[in-house]
Amino acid sequence: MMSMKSIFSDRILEWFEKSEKRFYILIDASNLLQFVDYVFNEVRARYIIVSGIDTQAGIELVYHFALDGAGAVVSLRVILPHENPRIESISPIITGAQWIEREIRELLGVEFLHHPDPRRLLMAEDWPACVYPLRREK
Amino acid sequence: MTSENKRTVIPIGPYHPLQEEPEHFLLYVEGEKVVDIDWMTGYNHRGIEKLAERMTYDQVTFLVERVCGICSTSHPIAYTNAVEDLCGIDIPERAKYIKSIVGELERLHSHLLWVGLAGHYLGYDTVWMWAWKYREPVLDVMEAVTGNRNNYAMMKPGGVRRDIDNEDIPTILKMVDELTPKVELLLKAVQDDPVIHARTKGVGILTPADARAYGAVGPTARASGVDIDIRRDHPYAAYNLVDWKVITTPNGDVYDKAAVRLLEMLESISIIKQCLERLKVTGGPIDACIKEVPPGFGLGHGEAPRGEVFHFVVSDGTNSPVRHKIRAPSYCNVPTFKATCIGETVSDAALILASVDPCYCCTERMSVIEADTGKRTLTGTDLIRLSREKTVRLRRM
Repeated sequence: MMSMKSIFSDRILEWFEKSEKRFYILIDASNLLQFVDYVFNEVRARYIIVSGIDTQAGIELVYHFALDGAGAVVSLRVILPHENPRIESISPIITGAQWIEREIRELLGVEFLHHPDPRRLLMAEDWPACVYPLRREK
Repeated sequence: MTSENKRTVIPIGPYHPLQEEPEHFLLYVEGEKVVDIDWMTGYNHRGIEKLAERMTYDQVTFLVERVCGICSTSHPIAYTNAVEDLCGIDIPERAKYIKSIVGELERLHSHLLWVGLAGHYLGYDTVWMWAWKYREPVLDVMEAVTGNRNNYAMMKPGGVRRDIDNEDIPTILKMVDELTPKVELLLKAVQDDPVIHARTKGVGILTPADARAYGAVGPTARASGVDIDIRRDHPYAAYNLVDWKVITTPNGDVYDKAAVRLLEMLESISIIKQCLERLKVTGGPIDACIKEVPPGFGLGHGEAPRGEVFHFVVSDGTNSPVRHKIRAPSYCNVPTFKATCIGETVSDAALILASVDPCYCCTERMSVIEADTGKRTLTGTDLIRLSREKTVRLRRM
């Protein structure tokens, strides 16, 4: 993890170690693919899931990866604006992320660019457009 | 007629009373061969993550117990791990042993349920009857330990709700001891049967690379030689205090997925026995009594029977989580069908879907529909019949 800190030192907005096994790294959305590629393909971390949260600062996406050998979890955080949130899809790098990106698109209204299969996953076909169940009321 | 029109679509699901979560699979077949698979889900989206935001940390434990009926203690375990991570506390040793005992009893009953259903689909109804008969004593042990056969309500952030009386331990140990020969019998039944080998070996292979790409977890990944187990890699409860080993097999086919589960059951029995022995000499409280939950993030996992359950809790310092993300193992295991079903025959597809244990009674709802006319040509019962007939053919060979 320390090598990651030095390699990406200029692109890490905030590095937070909650404990020796919990790393939270805030990054800019434009650098996401570089980080995900590094964590998944170089560090060989295991992809767990992506959590989406509606916060006051914006829509926060937390990409969780497990370092099974070290018993640690690395969470990459990005914060997107409430207006028109969009981010590159990580599914071209990690096939297994397709479902969760489709889910977050429906529940939080985040657009995932270059998603290989951007169909609806959970919500009914007649669910109204631009109504997102996990968004907070203003 | 173009080749597109020759394709037949087989919908599987979405509803069945035995299913925990309705899912709808579409098998695209050309003749007998599966050429593509697609799925629709969300039929039973209950908004549990949203509900959690309106409950206190203690109440959420009961909520997540109802995420899944079969692994109803795995979600509370992962959730309490997350809250304990958020608070930065360790739970008392006695609570750790009890947590592991309940977790392993659940793995036993869940795997036995799976072995039974797998036997039924193969046409081995004796295996089905026996596996479910032997599941009953596991539930009896569960009742002796927790007071309930299902939805045990044992977990709470900071420990467990109910202690095991030391006077009861010899009786419980005897019940657990009696399970070993039964599991060994089932294991031998699978290992020694040439027809089961013929039906399951080399079928629905998941490669280690695919397992990693899809983020597959639990027995689904371990059967492909991927050596991951949350109990060992991210130790929680008492798993780093007792001796046991992670079971992996190299081939990734349906047979290996069955073998991993059966061998794992013996490990579970061993873990339960060791924990019970340790309980005899470990006194102390069973609850760390969390008074306040600080603001911040909390991550927790648990190894459910089907693989890693992951909970992520965000707190703002009030008594309810601001956000609670849940990821169940099937969410990562079900998409692997794209890698395992294509190229296989329809009669094997039912088995491959079953091998991941995705709450798979949905396969009973299979029916074949002609893509261009929408005409139903085969019912779910017909498909089980197809699978069972193949076993009968193999038996005669």
